[in-house]
Amino acid sequence: MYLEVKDVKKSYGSDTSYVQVLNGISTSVEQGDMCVIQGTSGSGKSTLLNCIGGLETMDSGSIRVDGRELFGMKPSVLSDYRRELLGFVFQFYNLVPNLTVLENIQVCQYLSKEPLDLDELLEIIGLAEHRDKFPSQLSGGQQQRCAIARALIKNPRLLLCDEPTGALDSKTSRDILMLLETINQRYGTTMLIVTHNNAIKSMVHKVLVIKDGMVVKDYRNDVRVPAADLEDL
Amino acid sequence: MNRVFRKRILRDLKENFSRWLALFLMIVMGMYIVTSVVGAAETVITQSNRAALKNQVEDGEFTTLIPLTEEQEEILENAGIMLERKFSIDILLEDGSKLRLMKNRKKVNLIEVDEGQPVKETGEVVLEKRYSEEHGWGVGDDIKIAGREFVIVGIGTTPDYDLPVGSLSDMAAESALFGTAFVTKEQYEEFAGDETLRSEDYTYAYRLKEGKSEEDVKRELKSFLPEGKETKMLTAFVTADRNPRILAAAGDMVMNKEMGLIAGVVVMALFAYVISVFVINQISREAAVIGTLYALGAKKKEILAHYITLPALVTFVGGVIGAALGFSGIGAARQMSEAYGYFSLPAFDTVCPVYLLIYAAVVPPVLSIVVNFFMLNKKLSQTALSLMRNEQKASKLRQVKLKGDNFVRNFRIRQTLREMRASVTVIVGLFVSLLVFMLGLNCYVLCENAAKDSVESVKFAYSYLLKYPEGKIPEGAQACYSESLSKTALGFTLDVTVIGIDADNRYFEARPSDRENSIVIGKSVATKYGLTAGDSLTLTDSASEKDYDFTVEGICDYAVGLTVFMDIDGMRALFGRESGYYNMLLADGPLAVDAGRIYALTSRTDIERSAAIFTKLMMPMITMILLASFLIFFMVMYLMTGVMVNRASFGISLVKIFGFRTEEIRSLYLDGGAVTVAAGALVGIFPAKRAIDMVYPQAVANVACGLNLYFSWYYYPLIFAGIMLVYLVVIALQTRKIGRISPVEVLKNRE
Ligand SMILES: Nc1ncnc2c1ncn2[C@@H]1O[C@H](COP(=O)(O)OP(=O)(O)OP(=O)(O)O)[C@@H](O)[C@H]1O
Ligand SMILES: [Mg+2]
Repeated sequence: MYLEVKDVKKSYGSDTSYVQVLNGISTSVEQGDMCVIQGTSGSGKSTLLNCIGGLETMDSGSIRVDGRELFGMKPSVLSDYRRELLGFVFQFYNLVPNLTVLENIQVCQYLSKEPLDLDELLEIIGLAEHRDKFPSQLSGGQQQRCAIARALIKNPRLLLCDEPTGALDSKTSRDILMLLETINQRYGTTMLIVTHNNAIKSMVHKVLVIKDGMVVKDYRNDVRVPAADLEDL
Repeated sequence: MNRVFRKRILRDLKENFSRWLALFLMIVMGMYIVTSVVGAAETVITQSNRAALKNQVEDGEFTTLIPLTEEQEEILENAGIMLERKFSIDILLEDGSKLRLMKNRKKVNLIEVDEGQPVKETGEVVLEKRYSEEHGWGVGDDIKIAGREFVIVGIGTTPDYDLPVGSLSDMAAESALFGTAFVTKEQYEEFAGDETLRSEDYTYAYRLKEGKSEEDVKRELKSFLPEGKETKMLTAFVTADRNPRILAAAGDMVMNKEMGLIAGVVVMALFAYVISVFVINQISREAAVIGTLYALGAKKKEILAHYITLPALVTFVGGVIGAALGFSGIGAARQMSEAYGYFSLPAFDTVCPVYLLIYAAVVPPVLSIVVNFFMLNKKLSQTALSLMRNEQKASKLRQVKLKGDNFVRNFRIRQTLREMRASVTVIVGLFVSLLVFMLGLNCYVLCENAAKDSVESVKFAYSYLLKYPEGKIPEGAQACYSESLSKTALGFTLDVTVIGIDADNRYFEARPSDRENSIVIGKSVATKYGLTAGDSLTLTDSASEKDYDFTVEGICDYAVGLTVFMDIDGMRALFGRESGYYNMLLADGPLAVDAGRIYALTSRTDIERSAAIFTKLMMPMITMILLASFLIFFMVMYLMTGVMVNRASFGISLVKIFGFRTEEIRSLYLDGGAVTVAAGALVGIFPAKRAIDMVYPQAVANVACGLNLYFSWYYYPLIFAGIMLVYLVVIALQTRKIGRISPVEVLKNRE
């Protein structure tokens, strides 16, 4: 297994403000899989993703990614782990406003010894003609493409997306999903995608549904619908 | 809404407590330095003028070759000129110091006894204050003067020796070597009759009745002291305003006062600007809230008032506390010890001038309000919508296209462009700090150079100034002719000594030609008055009120006091002396000259000792100035890089998610600043030096020393290295701050 999560628990606060957010989560994802994480608001999706991304520490349990155990890792080691393996895509793009599209992507290119070809990636993403624009000069969808390109440029083995289409209309959402699909096929990138959108479930290899910090569904799709054919996005 | 805003002011203060605290402390420190320096200056100026008035300071003094007759004195008195004999005899004590013995005063230049009481009987003496301090004398001690036993009954000062120098042409007062002493009239006369002592000096101090002037005194004197060809009967005439001994401390402090007040405004303006950068930064962060408030009907005035209030409060309280410290025991009183350790002054109560209190309470908040108003007004003039969207003005500069694929370099350029305002503040802060630094450094360099130049240029071991020259020149001595003239520049009159020398002179390097009125000037004269060969120099004989025009033919190394050289024969002709006349003897060892003929004796050791006094005296002031300059740069640098890190915290947190290491982040976000600081330093150092060099003649207009502000070229790279070192320290501190920014921050807030 590429990613193995075992009995992960996570809580915030103490006494009156105490909340048990993750209550013993276990699952696994194979290399090259696209996996959707679903659940109601506040169910702990983002928290789980952040634990996997090494941004939050878990209270107990184990997360193994590419053979590395995250539990108990020192912050500097976690930072190197993110640097070497991960790519992040956020709901609100989070581009650096005073850098151009190209420069935003270069931020992450800098981190990799063997980055993807920048021009080729810009072509695939469809931003070639916007490379010298600043984020404020782009539409939301274009900004998210840029954010994805930034996450992909260093050719990460694991891509973590927290509601990548959350702020986009359905047409643009589809474009983004098609893009993720293409990337997955082309580079074999393992992907974890947190989303509220039900339709996305059918395009991925695996689905994980969480409720109150516990796994309520965990299954693989036998048949996958290509993103281009998804309905009700 | 007002109440809500008031609460927010407190919250702002809490949120950025360390930043406000740092600023507050800087303002306290700045105002403390300004009020203590200016307060001390004001105290010395006001109180020494008051004391001079109370003690009937002379309007002038003149010296005659032989005493006036009683009839002559009466003529003067009848003409409304109140006279006080201040005849004196210089006595060399066993410890090598010189005591100028005078009789008690009745009408003019009264002695202010700080400790003990005035002299009443034979065997009692009142000693000058600074001399007593240097020698550890106290009331009740026994002292031996020229073989006679005395009891010190009092320690005091006189207004005519405010600067306690033996000769008017002395560069500096050195109280370890010279002081005054007062005895009864009878005792003084007994001394005067002693043949073995050095000759008596016949100086009269005068005070004028209403309507009388200096001219009246001179006219009366001329009527019975005709100017003879052979001997000048009136050897010196100095009015109080041209006498470097009188109100010297006050004159010295005028500059401190002005510089302090100006520096205060400059530094406060700088910090007002620093504050405005903070506030603008804060407004940017809160733009959405402000926009919403606008939409809800809030007026710009109210918002502006809100953002201006906290800075105005902090600067006001800082200024008031700084002033309180300045007027407390650790302030002005301590600053004054600099004056007390040099000038001979009675004990003064600190004065607390109202204007200074107002200055301290008003300048910081008003500057803060004015600067903030202009900086914020534009920012807050945007529409509600554009504020809500927090539109960055898409300035051309920020969106400039960068060529090349060097990502790190491009990133730094972008960061620098984004942080333009903070960078400009750093540069301005650096320049102000450099100005202050150069002020201190110049002070140090001037003292050191004056000492070095004067000591190096003295080739003789002893110099005798004679009152009555004998015909025969003693064995091994070199005869010269010296006259004391004066020059007034920048409001101060200083003695310039003209020395006539032979072409084969062993002791001076100058070789003046025998052209008429042609002189070679000492290095100190050249630097002080900015003279070079070919220039003309006019010197005045204050006794005869005659001006002498000279032409400078060259410059020599001599730098003791202010001295110019002339061909001795030409000089004799110019001043109407017979050929062969001399009044100065130089030698490699002591000469067997009749004590009664000696007017003044200077040894090389004396010159060496008094040369060192400048640096010693000024060191506390220099240290304070240099420290202040360091603090200004450090704080501005620290606060501004703090703003940069703060503003970049979102981006930093983002790249942390991507796995950037703290060092890499520092390199991306802060290392571009190195170029800014280095460039600012390179561009700023030389103009700062030049600017301070330009104001310096004013600063030392009352000191009879050269103005050699030269320092070796390697000071520049050292200063540069110092600046970069401060930069590195600040960056190290900010790097720790970067290390503390959490990557999760991005997930919580968005930019
Ligand atoms: N730093 C924190 N401190 C305290 N509670 C937190 C913190 N972060 C998250 N929580 C709580 O943990 C719970 C799960 O949050 P999480 O963000 O994982 O939910 P989510 O499933 O991503 O929800 P959404 O779909 O709305 O994004 C929520 O109840 C939230 O209030
Ligand atoms: Mg979430």
